[in-house]
Amino acid sequence: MIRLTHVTQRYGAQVALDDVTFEVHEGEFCVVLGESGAGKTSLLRLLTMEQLPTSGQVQVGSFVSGRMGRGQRGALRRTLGVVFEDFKLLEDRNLFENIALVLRIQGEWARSTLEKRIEDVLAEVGLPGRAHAFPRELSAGQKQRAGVARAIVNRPLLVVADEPTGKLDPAAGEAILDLLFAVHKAGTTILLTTNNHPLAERLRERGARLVVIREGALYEGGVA
Amino acid sequence: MNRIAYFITEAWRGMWHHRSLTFTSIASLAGALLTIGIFLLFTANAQRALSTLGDRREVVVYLRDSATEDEVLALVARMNAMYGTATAVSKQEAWDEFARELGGDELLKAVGENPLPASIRLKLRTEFLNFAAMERIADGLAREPAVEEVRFGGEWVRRLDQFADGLARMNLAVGVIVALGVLVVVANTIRLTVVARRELLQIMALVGASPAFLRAPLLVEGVLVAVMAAVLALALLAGAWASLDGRPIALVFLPWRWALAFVGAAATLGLGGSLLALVTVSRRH
Repeated sequence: MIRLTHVTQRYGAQVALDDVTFEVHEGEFCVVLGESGAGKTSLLRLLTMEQLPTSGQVQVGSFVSGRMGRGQRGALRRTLGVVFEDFKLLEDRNLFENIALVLRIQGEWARSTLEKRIEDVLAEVGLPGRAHAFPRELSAGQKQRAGVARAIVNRPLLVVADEPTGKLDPAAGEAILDLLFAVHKAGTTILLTTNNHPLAERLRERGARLVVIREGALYEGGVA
Repeated sequence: MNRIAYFITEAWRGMWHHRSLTFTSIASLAGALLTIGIFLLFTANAQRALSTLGDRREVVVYLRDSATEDEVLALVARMNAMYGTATAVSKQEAWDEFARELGGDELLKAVGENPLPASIRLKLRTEFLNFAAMERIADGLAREPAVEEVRFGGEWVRRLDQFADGLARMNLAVGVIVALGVLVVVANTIRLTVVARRELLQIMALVGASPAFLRAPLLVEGVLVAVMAAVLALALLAGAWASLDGRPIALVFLPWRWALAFVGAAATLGLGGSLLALVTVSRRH
């Protein structure tokens, strides 16, 4: 599903990822644990092809970094679901419009289909009947549920979650993790980043694969 | 909601979101477009005056006294077929007309013999109403055996043509300057829109929007801003025209085809300005 082969990412003299070779298989729930500045964000930006590696190759599904045109970046992202730490919901639109954006980008324009799929996905994440609520009317936990709904509405094979509990209280964070496990159980590959050690340990205990990122290098199972 | 309605709604949402910027852009574009509108109004009225004068342009072919009736009839038929409407005026008809203009034939009686030649008056078709064509036709007719002399008021025809050419050049120059101004204003508006809506564009790009999907609402916004500015400019122009109320001279307003073309050209420039601004957008995402 994801394959990084000898990937190095530099910003000037600073090395964010150093000759990383790493693979996530289909159906895995992989947790990447690392401190701030360890290279997590660089890793995610490579997976969404917001940037291309300085050297090496990134493969996500059938998309390979060396052969990506600008138009193909959009095509890659349409096969992914992304959950952001700060939710990235559009504040001036209700949940229907926030989630419909993804479906319209996919080419779905029929109002009846949009309504059905959005109502279904909101029910799935525990926000039934809230399609017309605006983000400002929701708690942080509810906003992240909406973020998950937007990420999974097109049924992607891979969901990338960038510190999805970072701005949530523990109870809301646990609820989001439960939600992501439910999504995983339905067959979706999950790659989640966090800087929270206890949370990463709990996820490992629930069966997730743990990878630690430190100074631009990846260590399987947290072992250096 | 279909795709086009969605992009228009998104463009309108964007314009409303930064309405002070939108208002400033529309006002400054309307000012620039009003300048070209004034020139167009002047041109429309000048062209009307020129066409009135042009209707009076004719070529007069004076015939030799020796010209036979068959020769004259054949020449009239050829001129009718090739250049416009030819009317033969006999020596007697010319004499009668001259007498009418003088208000009596007392003086003419003193002259004795009718000194006026027979002639053919040629009203030219529109495509020949310019100096070069008239000169060419006059030269050709002057070589006819039945023809004594050809006159067509060459100097004032040349001046009318020069005036019309000057007007066209002036319109082109003002049009180019205003068009560049519109392009720059629209491009800057869209650039500022991109900055103001950076978060939205980033989110759209991250959830898979193609460059075309990102650009479409911004292109529509550029067109809408330019069209609204053009309509405002036309409204201001119509207001100014109405307030003149025939002073100092009666003016006609822009023909509706010109007004439509004016709005269409503004829309095209709006699209061009937006494209100019958006060359860099998809690269950033």
